Amino acid sequence: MTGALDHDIAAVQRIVLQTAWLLDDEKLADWIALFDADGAYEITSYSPELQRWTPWWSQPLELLRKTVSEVPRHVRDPAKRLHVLSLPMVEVSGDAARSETPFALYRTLPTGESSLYMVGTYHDDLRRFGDGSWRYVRHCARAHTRMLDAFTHLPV
Amino acid sequence: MNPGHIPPSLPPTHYLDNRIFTDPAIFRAEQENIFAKTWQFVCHESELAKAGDFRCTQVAGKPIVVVRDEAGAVRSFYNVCRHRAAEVVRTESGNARSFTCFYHHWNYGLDGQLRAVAKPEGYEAVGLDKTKLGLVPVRAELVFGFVFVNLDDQAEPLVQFLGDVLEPLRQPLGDAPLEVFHFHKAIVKTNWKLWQDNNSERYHSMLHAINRQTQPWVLGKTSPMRLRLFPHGHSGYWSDGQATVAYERGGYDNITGGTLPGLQDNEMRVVNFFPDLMVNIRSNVVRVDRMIPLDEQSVLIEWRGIGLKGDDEATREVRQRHHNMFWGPAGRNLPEDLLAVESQYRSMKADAVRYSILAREENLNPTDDANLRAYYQEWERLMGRPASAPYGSSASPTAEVTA
Repeated sequence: MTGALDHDIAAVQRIVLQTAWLLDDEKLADWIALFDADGAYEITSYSPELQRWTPWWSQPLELLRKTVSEVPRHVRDPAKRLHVLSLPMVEVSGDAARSETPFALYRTLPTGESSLYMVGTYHDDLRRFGDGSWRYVRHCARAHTRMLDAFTHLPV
Repeated sequence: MNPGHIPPSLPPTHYLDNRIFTDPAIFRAEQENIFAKTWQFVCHESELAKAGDFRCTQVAGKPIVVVRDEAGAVRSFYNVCRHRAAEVVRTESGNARSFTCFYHHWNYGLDGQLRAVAKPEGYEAVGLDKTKLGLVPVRAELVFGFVFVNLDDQAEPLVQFLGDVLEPLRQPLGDAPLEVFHFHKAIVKTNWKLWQDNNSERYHSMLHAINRQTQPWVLGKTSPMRLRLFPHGHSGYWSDGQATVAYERGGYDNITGGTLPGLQDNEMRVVNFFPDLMVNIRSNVVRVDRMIPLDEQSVLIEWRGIGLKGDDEATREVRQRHHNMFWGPAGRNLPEDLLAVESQYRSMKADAVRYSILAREENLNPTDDANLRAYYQEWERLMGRPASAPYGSSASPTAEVTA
């Protein structure tokens, strides 16, 4: 039993790490494929001005797919991004899993200057499918960073 | 001579010397002559919903606290203790029954009156008069729930300063209670006026992939939108009651509903208040840009999303989705605007090309530059120098710019 649980935890951890790798490489179609058909993506940030969490991006899969597919049409921040993730803390219950993962996102300009772009924590809910794979029901980046050096067309 | 330093062969009203954006002396003069003299939006009244709710901000580089007092009035003060000038309030927002300076514990009421000093016996010898040492008040006035302050006691009343540019906002902002549902901010590496220019001129709408799709008039020769000019450099553009955004052309059909009073579905109205405020309405959501210029090369911009108070969950979600689609930090349009104004500033700082051209004349079609020209006429009036030749006959910015 423990072995099966460890296997599930490791599988979920791999999904979370893979999420970051795909974004760093801008493989957005592959990134989208990590979501369940009922899945949703969010970026939220706490606003001390309003004293509540404020969504920066909140879309179900269908809208998310359209938005991400149109990324190439935009004039975009030219920086390359790099995620650095802590080990995801995963709880598995049957075919559902919950994961929390602190992350740091760095940004390197075409001139070569790097800077810290965003820190936060992924709060994720995942579901296991019949083929044994895990996919996101909800993938949420809770940003601690509230002021960005550049705004983003890309998910974080 | 660098040909880029030769003024264009245009009327002086139709171009700008880019050094008005990069000269620190001009920036300091703007703080004194514009920001310390004109009405400055600081927050929406929904951010001060209850007695004791406060917001801290800056105007013309000076720390300000705005608070709702026990009687329900909105008051504003310099956020500076009368004792030794520490900031009395040190958080951006919150609720307080009174304000106590953290340094020596002088205590002020929500009305600004000095209520108590620590160890008062120490002042008995000099007869300290507490009634004369309250927080220094700053004029605060409201219109449609928007809270403005003015550091100049001699300035004309707010509604008189804004005048008829308020009319297109009267129904959408005045006919039902509103609240701020979204707030974000960023320090943008540009001169503050370039952001106001970006918010004012529609010629750049073609920068935005989504606007090229959903606003057919962006690339066309005619538009249902008309540019509107008002005294004091205020301007705007709106239609005469027609829908102006064709969301269906982009396949964005899930952002309608909850249309604000007096508007058509998919109607857009934009009002630019001199010197630094924009109110942009897309049928069911209001975006408000407020600027706090930090120096000539950086500006703190606050973006607010405003909608009807008391929304049900589904309607609020539509408003938020619509807001974030264009105007959130991960929106479709805002990242592009920031890239543009930061690019402008980098080039202007290098002074390779010295002049910007504001020469479009299109009978007040939205891509006409008439509103920019009117804006800079007001800037010139307050600054006492032409924006096309801010150093007079001298070609050098070493000429003193006085406040």
